[in-house]
Amino acid sequence: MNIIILGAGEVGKQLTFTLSNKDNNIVVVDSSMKLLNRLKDKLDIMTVYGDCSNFNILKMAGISTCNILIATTGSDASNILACLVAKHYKVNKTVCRLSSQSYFSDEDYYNPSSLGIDNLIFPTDECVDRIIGVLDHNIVAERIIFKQTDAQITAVKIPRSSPVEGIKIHDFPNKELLPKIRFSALVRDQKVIIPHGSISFFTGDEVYVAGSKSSVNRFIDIVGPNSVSIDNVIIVGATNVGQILASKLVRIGYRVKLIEKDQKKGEKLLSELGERVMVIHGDPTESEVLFEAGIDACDAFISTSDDDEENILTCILAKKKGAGKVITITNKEEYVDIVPGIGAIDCGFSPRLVAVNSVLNLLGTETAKVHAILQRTSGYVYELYVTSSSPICGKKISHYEGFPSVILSLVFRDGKMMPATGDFVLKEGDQVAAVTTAQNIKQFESLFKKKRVFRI
Amino acid sequence: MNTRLVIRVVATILVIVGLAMLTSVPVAWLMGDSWPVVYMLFICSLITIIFGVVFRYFSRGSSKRFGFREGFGIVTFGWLFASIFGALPFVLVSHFNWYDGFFETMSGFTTTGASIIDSSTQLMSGAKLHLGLNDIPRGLIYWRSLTHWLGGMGIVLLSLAILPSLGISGHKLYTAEVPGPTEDQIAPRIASSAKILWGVYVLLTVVEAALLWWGGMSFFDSWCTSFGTMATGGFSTQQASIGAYNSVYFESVITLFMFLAGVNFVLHYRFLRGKTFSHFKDEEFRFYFLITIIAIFSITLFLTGTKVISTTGFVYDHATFWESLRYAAFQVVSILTTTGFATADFNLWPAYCMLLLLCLMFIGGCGGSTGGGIKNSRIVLIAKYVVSELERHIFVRSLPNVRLNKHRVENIVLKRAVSFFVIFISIFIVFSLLLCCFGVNDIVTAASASIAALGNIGPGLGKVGAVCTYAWMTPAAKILLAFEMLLGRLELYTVLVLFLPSFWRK
Repeated sequence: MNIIILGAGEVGKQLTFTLSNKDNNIVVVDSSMKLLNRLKDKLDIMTVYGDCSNFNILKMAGISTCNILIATTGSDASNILACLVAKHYKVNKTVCRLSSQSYFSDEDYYNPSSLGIDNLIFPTDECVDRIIGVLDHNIVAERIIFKQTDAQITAVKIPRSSPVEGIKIHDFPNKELLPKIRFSALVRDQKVIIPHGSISFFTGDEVYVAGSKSSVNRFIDIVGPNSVSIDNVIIVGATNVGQILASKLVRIGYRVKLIEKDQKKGEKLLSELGERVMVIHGDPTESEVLFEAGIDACDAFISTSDDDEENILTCILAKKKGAGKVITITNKEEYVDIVPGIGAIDCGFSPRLVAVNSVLNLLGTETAKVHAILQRTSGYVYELYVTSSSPICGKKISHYEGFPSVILSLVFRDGKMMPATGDFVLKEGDQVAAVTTAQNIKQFESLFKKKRVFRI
Repeated sequence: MNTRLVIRVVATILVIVGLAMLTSVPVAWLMGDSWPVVYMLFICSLITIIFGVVFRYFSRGSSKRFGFREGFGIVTFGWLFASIFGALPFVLVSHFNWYDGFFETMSGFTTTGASIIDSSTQLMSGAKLHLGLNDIPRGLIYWRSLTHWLGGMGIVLLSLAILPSLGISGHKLYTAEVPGPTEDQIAPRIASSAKILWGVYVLLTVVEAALLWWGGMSFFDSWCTSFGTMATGGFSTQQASIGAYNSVYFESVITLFMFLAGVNFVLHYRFLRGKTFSHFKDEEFRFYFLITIIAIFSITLFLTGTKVISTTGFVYDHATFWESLRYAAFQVVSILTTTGFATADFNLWPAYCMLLLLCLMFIGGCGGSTGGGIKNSRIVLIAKYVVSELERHIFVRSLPNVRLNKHRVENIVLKRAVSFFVIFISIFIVFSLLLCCFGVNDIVTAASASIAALGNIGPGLGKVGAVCTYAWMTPAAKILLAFEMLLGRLELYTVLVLFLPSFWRK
């Protein structure tokens, strides 16, 4: 497949890494020679230097024979224009990254397709939704929602003096709940452990639990009976993420305060917000400022500034000063990996990973696609489709125990969700959600190798 | 300042005023006024038009340089000269003293509705106007009501609507005449905005006149009353104001239209364009509506069972709830919208009612309406600003976040609103003191006359109450009040900047 990726920034880079394999010919376009060279040094791709929305540059990148165009530059206008050019050349699929949902309106039938856009991604909005997903409970570290049913895979952090501490999985106190949920992964000391029945829970473990919304919540209640609900939220940084997060949280009913260093940025945010939010002008690394925002009474502290280092340090300080749940935004690849290891930070989200995630979500094959990239560890949630020619079709799940690093969590059949337990027999048309680590993708692929090469 | 240009535009405004005055000639003739009256009205309009044409001719070829100073100059002098020439019929037809005529015309154009006409009014000859309003020719009464109507939406705005070829930046004139705390333009060009606003204004006036006529008011009275209502003016064709008709129907219609005249006309325009709930989506309107309802009901409760006397002298010894509601609703809406019509003598009401009405005088109508006062939107803004400042005592570093209609209000707008409030109150106090110096020997009268003029209301309390007039005041007091009306109508800044030395410096 011929893929053109516009923008070699963090999103473009990660996408190139993920998509680059022997089946895909990738061309990356960017107006920074430095970024392009960095990519070219590592991967077998073609790079074109120039303006991403320029017709001639796109032609040079081979737009006339391109199958997929992914526009992920930081500029909305460039992305839209590039998609428009792409549609002129009958590119099969265009993916456009936008920072705001306000470009299109159903009201007047002004939809993305009129500008040649097949798929839109809103990394900022999606990142905000992910953050909001973990805000209802202070022991939830990540929540992956499946749109089809109310199924979800939720990372739960085992709190101190939890009733399940030291208890093995098959000794789990609530026997009734056990068949309704699946333990998909367990992260301990930043390492993924496959949760067999004989593994016991310890404080600080993060367990990925799959199941319906109600059973997952039931599990959370058992694991952390004393968990407080979140009400007061402090956001740091009048960035795009901060702004959307603030307005969405206010609409849900949280009490929100926002700290911003730059007075002009703060006032601009206030003017653009549709809701009433208190903005405190000050340096979030000063404890006085934090106390004025009410850090000691805040249930969740979310740092969303553009500077990763500042985010991390602010979060550590906030935790010291008594903030409840501490969440940070990180963009650099290196930091994304170390955030889960920092004890003071409860959750980390990367808008970049979310953006990559959204793109991968759109680029599945007939048998598989990436549903989500896990933020707490380097793992993926895949969605697999069982066809009549799949080797797995008509067989028990336990038949494939030979792949210990792959856990099939949930099966969707006829719009219903069921936990993928060992003696479950898969049928044609089933959709399977599976969790696996990045290293095991290849091994995982071999499961489907006979019939179809898995590619994303 | 580009004086020639200012003269040219002011002269144009005079021509328009003169033409409007000319319409009183056929009215006087049709209403059966004596030939000398018709003749003198014609002469007065001719003088005005000729002055306008001559000055327009002599100031031709003025440079097009037009800035904020010219805008303020044109509006202030335009209004001043319109009032001076508008006073001609009073002086030449009915032989009023010049200051009485000027007061009456200024009161008309600024939609104040304070009158000097009653049975004790002294004419130039020293004689008294024994029958009050009934002594005044119909043509002149029509002109008096017409000044309301012209001033209500704005003389300059009218000129802009009729003559977009004034050829100058209408925006600066618009902001000088229709200041308001916030601005919402409804059409790409000021001239088209002016046309729209005047269109809505004319439509509402016609509907009201038709409703009144249909209810049995004479054709002449219904038009004059409608002019006075839609402009939130207050001149009536009867000495006892609207109370003279003693009709619940008339009072209801007039109350409704006074209320509508106190609303931002942009909202009416949106409503007419099919946005059904546009009014209640507006925060200022909701506040205005709430204030009206609260004031009406609290006054009704206070009045029930007490003695209420209508302006015609009819006495209700123990007013029932419905009688109280009838008089409370009319008086509250009339005072809040700064119209100044009256059906009852609220001077005799319980202290709470009088004080509440006095407070309502300060509030006034909505921004973008024909009403005066501080304006509801400013009150809302200031209240919110005060709360946010209080909050900032706890959260010292928080950024001020005052929102109106969900949008954040810039700091500069808030500061203007607060300084407007401060200047408004200061002028009110200073003029109250000055009135006391010039022959008003009564605190309640002086204070209420001052706010009644500054807020463009008309009747006040004490000796300028609903059944009294300003006829007894000294000439100096009348001039002071006339000036205060102009200040209030042009929302202070437009007139006050002319008193800054730096305004006149090159």
